[in-house]
Amino acid sequence: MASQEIDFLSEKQSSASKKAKIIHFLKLGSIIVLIAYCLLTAAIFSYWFYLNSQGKKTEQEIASKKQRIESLSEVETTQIFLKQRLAALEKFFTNQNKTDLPLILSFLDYIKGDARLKQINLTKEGEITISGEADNSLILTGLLKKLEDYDQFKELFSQVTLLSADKQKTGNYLFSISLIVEEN
Amino acid sequence: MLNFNLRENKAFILPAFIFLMVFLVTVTFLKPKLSQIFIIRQEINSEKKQLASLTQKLASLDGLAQVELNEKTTLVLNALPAEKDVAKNLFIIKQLVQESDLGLNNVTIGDVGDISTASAQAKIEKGEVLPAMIFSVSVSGQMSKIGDFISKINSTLPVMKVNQIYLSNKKGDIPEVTLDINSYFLPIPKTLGKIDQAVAIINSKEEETFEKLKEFKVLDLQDSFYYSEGEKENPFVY
Repeated sequence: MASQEIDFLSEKQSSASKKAKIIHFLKLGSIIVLIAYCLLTAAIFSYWFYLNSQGKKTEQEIASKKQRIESLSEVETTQIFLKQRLAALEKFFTNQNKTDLPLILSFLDYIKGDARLKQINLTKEGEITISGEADNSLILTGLLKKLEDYDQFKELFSQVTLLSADKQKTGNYLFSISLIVEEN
Repeated sequence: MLNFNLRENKAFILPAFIFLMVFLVTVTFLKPKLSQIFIIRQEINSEKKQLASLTQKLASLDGLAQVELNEKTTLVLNALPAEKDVAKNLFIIKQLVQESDLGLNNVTIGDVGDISTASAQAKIEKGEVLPAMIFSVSVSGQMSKIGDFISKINSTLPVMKVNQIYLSNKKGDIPEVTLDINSYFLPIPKTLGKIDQAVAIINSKEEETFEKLKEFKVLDLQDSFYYSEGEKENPFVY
């Protein structure tokens, strides 16, 4: 009868071999991790150094540009000054009504006849209010007739309104007329 | 009680030491460095933006010619003085009245306030866009000449505008007219050129305004009382 052998050592050996393998992997793994970690750390430090030098370089460039800009401060001040004034003047000219006062004066001089003009009131919206005095109703009617017959009337005004015509005790008439200047 | 057999666990010492080192180095050095990197990157980004705007500003400034700017500024200052200059305005009005062949009866200056000071308060009247001094000028002459005077006022620097006209023409008399003339000024801006601010660009409408100003007449004041160093003429004498 063949005797059966039980090898108790084999299990022990296999367990030891497994343990050795694990230890080997652990060692190897930790060395790889250490190398990778060292590389990562070196990369991070290098990047930090790079960023620092980059920052310093940018700061130097900024300082240099600022210095150059300061040396040109006179030019800049003049430009700002010019801009401020031109912007204000542009607004001023835009805001102006396009009333041709000399033309309107010559027109009023023509139509007034014997009436006496006392005040010409100008508004921003292009409205002109004239007030005056006529010795009698004929003079006032004559003024209104001339106003109506004036050739260039439609080119000058879009609307004319007789605001008031008050007869005084003396027989004189105080009148006021509103003229809306035609916008071109 | 924990029984640690050094000889048995010798093999685990190195990996344990490595992981401990990694942990310690990460916590003490690497983490703060990473935070620093994050902050530095943000700083660099904002600095780069600042640098770009400064570079642009510098290029704009380099493109501006000082001589040309000074010439433009002289004209613009003639158009819109920085201060209330009563004497200069009086001289100009008087000159224009003479040129229009009118008789100057009277000049009344409105509420002047502080005269000829940079700090002169710039009060803007309702409906106006610029501060102004008001001159009530009484002249006599034919209507056509008064019209000519108004045209001259409208086309001479500094910028002026006739606001009101009061007429007093008795029968047969030479018309007497009182004109309310606004003469405009504008104090110097309070803030001039912050370093990080972009250069003020003059747009096309403002260029057009400048071209328009070129068409205005500038009176030569060199020989007037205004510039004479000796005995000054009284501007209030007509």
